[in-house]
Amino acid sequence: MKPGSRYASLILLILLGLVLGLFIGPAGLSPDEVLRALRPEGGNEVARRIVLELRLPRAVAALFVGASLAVSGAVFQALLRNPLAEPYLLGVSSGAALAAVGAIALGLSRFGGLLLPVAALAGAVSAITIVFAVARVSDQLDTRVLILAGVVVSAFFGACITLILTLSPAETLRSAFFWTLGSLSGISWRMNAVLVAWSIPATVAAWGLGRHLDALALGEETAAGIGTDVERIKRMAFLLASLLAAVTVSVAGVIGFVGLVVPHAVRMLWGSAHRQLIPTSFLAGGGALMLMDVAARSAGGPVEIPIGVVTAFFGVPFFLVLLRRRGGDAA
Amino acid sequence: MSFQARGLTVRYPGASLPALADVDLSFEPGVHTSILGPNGAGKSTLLRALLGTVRPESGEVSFEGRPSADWPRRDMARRVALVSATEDFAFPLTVRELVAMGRHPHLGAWRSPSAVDREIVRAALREVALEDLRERPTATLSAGELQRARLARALAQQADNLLLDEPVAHLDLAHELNTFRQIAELTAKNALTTITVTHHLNLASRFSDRIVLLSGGRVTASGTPEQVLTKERLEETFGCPLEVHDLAELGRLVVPVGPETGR
Repeated sequence: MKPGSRYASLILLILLGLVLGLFIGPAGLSPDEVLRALRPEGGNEVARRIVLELRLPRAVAALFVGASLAVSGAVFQALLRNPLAEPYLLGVSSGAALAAVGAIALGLSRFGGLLLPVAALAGAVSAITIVFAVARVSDQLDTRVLILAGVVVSAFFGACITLILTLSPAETLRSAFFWTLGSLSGISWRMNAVLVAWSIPATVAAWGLGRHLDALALGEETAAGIGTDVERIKRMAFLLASLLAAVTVSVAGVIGFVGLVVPHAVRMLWGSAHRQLIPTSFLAGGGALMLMDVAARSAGGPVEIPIGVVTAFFGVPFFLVLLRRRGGDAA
Repeated sequence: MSFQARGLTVRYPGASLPALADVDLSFEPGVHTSILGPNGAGKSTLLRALLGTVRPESGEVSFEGRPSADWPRRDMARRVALVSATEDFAFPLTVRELVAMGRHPHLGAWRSPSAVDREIVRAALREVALEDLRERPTATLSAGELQRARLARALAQQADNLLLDEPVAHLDLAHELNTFRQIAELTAKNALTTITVTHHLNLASRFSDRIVLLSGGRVTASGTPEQVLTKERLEETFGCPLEVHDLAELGRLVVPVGPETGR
């Protein structure tokens, strides 16, 4: 597939996700009502609110959360030279979850809608800082230590979450549980603005690192030999990928598989060169999560299925088929 | 003068002994130097120090008068190409993609490869006789083909200095010979500064202008192959009884003969 038609087909996927996201939902609006609500000053007040304050921001959030997770996963896989790497491997999600669950348990979530995302972001950034500090010895970032530190820090935060949940009343348990499953509901335009304002420049920066990420995949010595300032690039890649994951987790909770599966699928279909992989993963991750969110909202009738369940249901079989077809040469 | 080391001492973090101790060497264009010595003598470390990816503990090492470690990596890569001893592939890659990575320092972050870049990559593939395999995944290459692909990447870099860490490891007899001949010819034709780390004493003696012998991080000899590759010196360096024969234009033939085999 030519690059032009590849990008065009992914943009069509996103447009399809947008259309389905606007027209499908539990409120049962007719297509006509949705179209009228999209016109300036058109439609009735309820339809306008549903379309413009619920469905549209949710579709935008799905696009940028999916896109950010896919880019984050692609960068982590190159940085850690590990096909199993994904955005949450290094403790970003457990740091965010611990802070969010802590805030819920303390009853802080009653104070305005932004407190939880801010707490989650702080938790994620703390986890990133700890892992980075542990793995950085005399100005060098050891990526093997990075993985181990990330896994251990995750396990510790996980234990803290379990402890908090054990001591909490049932209703806290339920809202905390839903937070850890991830959800794209209730993402305001303001949170979307933060998400978009970080995700686009971070993706462009990751795109600019593309050739260096190609080089790093061959090992640090070879990378240095073809002009990569290895330590600087590793630091930048780590911070970009971690903060992309941190922002998504603070607005939408933990949504698995997108960051693992999408970059692999793109590699298998169109090759491993990161100047192609980063923008393609951005579009594919965004489009995929938009469609899966539509499924999450509509497949279960009145009950919304947690998005993480849907990403696993779609992502895992798709990935297994790809692995089978390609004989697993990505692993 | 391309590279110069003066009193160069390198110690890895936590190591009690330095990997290189008080090394004085200089390397000039048009000269193919082979670095010989037992395992752990500091050969690869010397290449790293020349390239500037390890910093000296004391002394200095410079490329064109500027400390190697102070060179911006991209500027250095346009002048110096490295074929490291090992390399592995985290993700699938075709031969052409691997060789095209030699153009990275010339392209920077955003510029797309031009027709000229593509022609340079094709020429490099031709040079190592891998043109027909250019769309093959690197995972399907033999060890020798892969080694030649990596050499092609260094050629595509169009640097006037080549640092080669065991470039003929895993190659069969004919490819060993051809690779060494090619390295020597390229060095003479393009006035390259070429430094090859190798364990192939015989090929090094035939195709090098100069031999540097390293042992325990120190330079124990440096000069023409005839001057350096003597029985006494090699026996002392490698700790093994040897026979050394002069084969005229085929260079020196070094054969290990002991210790007693019991046969």
